[in-house]
Amino acid sequence: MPSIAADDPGLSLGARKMAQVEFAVIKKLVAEAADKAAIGKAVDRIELEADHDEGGSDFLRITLYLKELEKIENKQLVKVIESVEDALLDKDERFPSVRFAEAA
Amino acid sequence: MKYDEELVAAAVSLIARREGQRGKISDARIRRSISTSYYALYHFLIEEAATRLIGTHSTLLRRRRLLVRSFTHAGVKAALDKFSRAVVDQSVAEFVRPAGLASANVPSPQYAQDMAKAFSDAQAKRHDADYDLNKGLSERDAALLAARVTSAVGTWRAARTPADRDFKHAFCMLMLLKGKLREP
Repeated sequence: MPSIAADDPGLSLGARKMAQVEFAVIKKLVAEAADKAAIGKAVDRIELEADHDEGGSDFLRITLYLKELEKIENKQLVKVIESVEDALLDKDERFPSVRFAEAA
Repeated sequence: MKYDEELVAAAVSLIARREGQRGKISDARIRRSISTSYYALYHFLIEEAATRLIGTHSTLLRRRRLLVRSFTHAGVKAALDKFSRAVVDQSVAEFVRPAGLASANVPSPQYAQDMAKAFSDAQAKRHDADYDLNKGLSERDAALLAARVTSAVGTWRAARTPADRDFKHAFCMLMLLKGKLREP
C-alpha cells in the first residue's frame, strides 16, 4: 500500500505559490484597515515580522501599537483583523496574524 | 458542556478580573489563555471528525478516541488551508464539489473560511504563547481569540443543511489525509 508522503509525486499538494508582499505595502494595508475601523488616529506604530511555527507554517506577526487601547471597542479591533486578512490572504502565502498592544 | 466549550470557558476565566480588580493580568495567564483557546479549536475539530467518521454512539467512544490520536496539528491546518479563501483550493475542489455544481470553481462555505482563518490565527498566537516569550501578547489578544474561537465553532455548528453535512464529512476525511489527495 503506498504511503502518503509529501514528496510523493502522485500527490496533489495544491501549494499556492504566491508572491510575498513587501513589508512597506503590508504596513500601508494595515494602516488603511485601521482607518476603516475608525482607529487610525490611535495607531502609534505597526511592527511586522515573518516567522513560522513548529509545524513549518509561515505566518506574519503584525502588531499594532495603539494609544489608549482599553478605550477601543472589540468590534473595531475585529474589523481591523478581518480587513487585514481579506487584503492579504490572496496576495501572500503567509497568514497575517494580527495582534494589538498598548503604545508606550 | 462539550470539551471544547470547557476549554474556551477556561481560557476566558484565565483573563477574567475579580470585581474591583485593577492592574495588568499576568503574562502567564494571558499565554495560558491563548494556548487554551487554540486547543479548544483543535479538540473541536478532531472530535468533529471522530463523530462524523466513526459515529456518535457511546459504544464507539474507544474507537473515536483511538482515531483522534491519528490527527496532527499540521495536518489539520493543511486541510483547513484549502478552504481559507472564497474559492476552494483546486487540489481538493472535486472532492468537495456539491452535487449539481457546474462551475469550475467550488465556493468555500463561509463557516469553513471562518474556521480556517481562526485556526491559522490561533496556531500562530499559540506558537508565541507557548514557545516564544520574547513575543508580547496582550490581554486583548487573548480575549479576542477566545471570542473568535467561540464564533468559529458556533457558525460551524449552525451550518446543518444536507450540503453542509456532506461538506463536513469530506472535510473531516481531508483532515485525516492532511489535506492531500492523489491526483486522478
